[in-house]
Amino acid sequence: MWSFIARRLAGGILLLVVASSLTYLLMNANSGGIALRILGDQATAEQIAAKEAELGLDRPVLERFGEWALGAVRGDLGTSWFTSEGVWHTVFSRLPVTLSLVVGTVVVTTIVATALGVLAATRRGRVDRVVQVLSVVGAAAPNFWIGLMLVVGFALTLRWFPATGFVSPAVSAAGWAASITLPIVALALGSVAAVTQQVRSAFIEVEGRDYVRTLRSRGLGERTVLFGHVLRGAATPALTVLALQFVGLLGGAVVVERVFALPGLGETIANATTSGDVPLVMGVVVVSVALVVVVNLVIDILAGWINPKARVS
Amino acid sequence: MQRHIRGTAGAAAVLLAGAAALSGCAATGGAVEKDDWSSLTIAAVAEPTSFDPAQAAEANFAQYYQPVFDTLIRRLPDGELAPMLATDWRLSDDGLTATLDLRDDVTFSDGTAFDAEVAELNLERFRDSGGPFAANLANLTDVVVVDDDTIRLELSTPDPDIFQYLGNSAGYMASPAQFTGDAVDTQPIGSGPYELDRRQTVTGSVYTYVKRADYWDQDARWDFFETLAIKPMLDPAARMNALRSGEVDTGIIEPKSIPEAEAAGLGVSTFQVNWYGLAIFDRDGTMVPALADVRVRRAISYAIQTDAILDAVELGHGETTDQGFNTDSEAYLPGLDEAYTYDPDRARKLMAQAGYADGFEVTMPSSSNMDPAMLAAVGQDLAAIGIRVTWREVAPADFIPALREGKFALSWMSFAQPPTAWGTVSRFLLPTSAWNVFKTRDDRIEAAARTALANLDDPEVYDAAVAEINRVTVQDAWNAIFYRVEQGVVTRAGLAAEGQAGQAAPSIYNYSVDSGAPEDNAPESNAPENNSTDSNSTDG
Repeated sequence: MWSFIARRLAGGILLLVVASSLTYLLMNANSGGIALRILGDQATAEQIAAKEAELGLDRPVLERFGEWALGAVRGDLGTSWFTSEGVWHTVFSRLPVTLSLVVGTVVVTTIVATALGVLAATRRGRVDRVVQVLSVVGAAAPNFWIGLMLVVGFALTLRWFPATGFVSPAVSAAGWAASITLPIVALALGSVAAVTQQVRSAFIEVEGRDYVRTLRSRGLGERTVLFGHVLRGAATPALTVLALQFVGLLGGAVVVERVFALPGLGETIANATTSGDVPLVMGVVVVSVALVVVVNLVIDILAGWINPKARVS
Repeated sequence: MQRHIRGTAGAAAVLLAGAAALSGCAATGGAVEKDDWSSLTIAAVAEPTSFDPAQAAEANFAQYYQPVFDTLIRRLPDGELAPMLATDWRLSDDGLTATLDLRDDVTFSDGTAFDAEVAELNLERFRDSGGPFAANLANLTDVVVVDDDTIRLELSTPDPDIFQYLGNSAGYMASPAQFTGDAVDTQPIGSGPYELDRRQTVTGSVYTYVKRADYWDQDARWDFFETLAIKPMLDPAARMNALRSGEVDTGIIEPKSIPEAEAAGLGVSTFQVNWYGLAIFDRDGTMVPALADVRVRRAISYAIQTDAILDAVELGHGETTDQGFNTDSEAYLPGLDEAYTYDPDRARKLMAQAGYADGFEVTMPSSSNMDPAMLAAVGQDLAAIGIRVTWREVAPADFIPALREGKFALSWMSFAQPPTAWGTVSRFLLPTSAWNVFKTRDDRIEAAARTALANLDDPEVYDAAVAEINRVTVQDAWNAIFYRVEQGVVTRAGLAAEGQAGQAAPSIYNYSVDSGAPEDNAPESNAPENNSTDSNSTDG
């Protein structure tokens, strides 16, 4: 078990190195307009040259990457070129927003998708078909559109939730819940659709196995068979999809955060990438990759705990 | 199988009906009333890169700086100048010396007194810090402290807009303590009516300002709010939703969103800031030889059906024109608004006379934030006279840099119309101008510019000279300008916002509560200097 964790962590560090090197090179493939974007369209050629020298853009890419990497190893991610704010500060002030959104979505997805998947697998017939249609629609509807529809319906018309903005749970727990509900619903629809399908097919597949028939023939109650054994067997593939969803949700957050004007990492990285804010993009990439590595590790351990057959040595 | 299909179709129909019901609600959500106006929340379309006044940007960014930094001179909504930290100002006859009398009763939020030496420090720092608008003070050779409340600015060349600059980023005055601390970019220390509250500020989400109890101008004729919050909202749909749900009180919107705002019961006022049209950069024909021929450039102006584009893209919110000067500026000539009316036959004749009867090829940038209908219309109108456009997609953030680097001979563009004639001349038309990308020279323009600078004390000669520059640029079709677009400012019921000449977002002094203003916010008396719109500027 421990060697498994160690190997996964080593792989994670390798991934971090590869991802950050590639990002740095890509960000610097087109660094032409950065100084002008910082200074504004009235800047003179001399000012632009001076700004580029100040940012180090006149030096070789590898030299700058080396400098950045040395700083990053020491825990110094630098300062944003466009907001003058420390990168750590920016990332950690925005991480709670994105985590609220993504973790909330994962929780909602787990509960709703399990319920719907099991319902569809056990009832079949009409219930199954309705669930299937819902899944297809949920997977097909773009989340920005769902977000806008939710805003029109529940924020502007019914006024149950705010249309935009984020309230920190430290300020008001109720305010936080209200501000995050619509974004989570908008983001969850797609992942609920995907995971429901997975739960449903895994459940049906496991239910047809010999050991389940044996359990039933031994007179075990239907509830014990379904929830104690079948669901447990179906959990592993469902968890794998959920882990993939988590990574996808970090990407989906970009769109949803923009629609709801949430100050999260998605909005940050979208703006930082288009403007060419190299230090900030690098900071977000490092933190997101680390997050994905940790989440995948936790999911693997969790899968082993739920289903010993999936346990890795 | 059939039953399966029927079930599926039924479920789909229910979903569609649900979605349609939601969409149908769009028009029913009216704006929310607000009773307590002790706070004002503004949705902004930009975000500041630094609170160092020497690094301050202008236009949409001004709203972030004005609450904390007073300027030496105040720009009134119509572009006229009024006293602020300076009570009086004058320019010498040769335009090389500007003298300012300063207030002696002003303190910064850290308790430091504002005086002539602090003003000197700020002005020299602005000039030397390489900020976005440092070039505005590039000709400032020296700041002389005459006495505690008088400074003299020595200039190497005359600049008719020097007092305009001092009413904008160059005029922001900060306490010297801000420059010595390590938070020069993030913690502003000014003499303005508000202080930035860092604890309630989340970069990228909300900037919170709280009212200063000891602000020097308690008689200011604008409404103070106990707190002022500015939320950067880059997405137009999010901005509109926040306005409709009452989460923000005011914000600027695109012309095509005006009907939606009005339908939702929000107040909409409009004012003109930018011109939209084709910027012809390569007037010497370096990249596209045909553009060196004035007949070809005129043909382009005749070829575009500008009123149709105005109606289709901006829903008619604007005025067609062919000149780039602000209607309030000294150079504005009403006749030039109709210099080129849509006439494709004439355009084709001009093309033939220039030897381009078969047309030519040109590459123009397109970008995802441009209206595809507008690009299609432009491409079609140009194709009708033989100019075949190849569109090259450029990322929105790379668009301005690509143009400034001279990668395109011709492009659709939206340019500001500065409130003064010299603002347009200096930014766009001289060989030294940032936006004269290919450094086009014209003897008539340069001679008229010299005449203008030599006659700063004679408004008649000055006005005639800048008007001549306008006439030459329109006659020679330096650009193919379509129209001046109307910028929409949306406010909730109870709030009024006045547009600021030459600035996309209103200045923070331009907001007022219509009625039932909080008692302690109501202006009591008007200090004489605050009524003054007497402009000592050279703008005539």
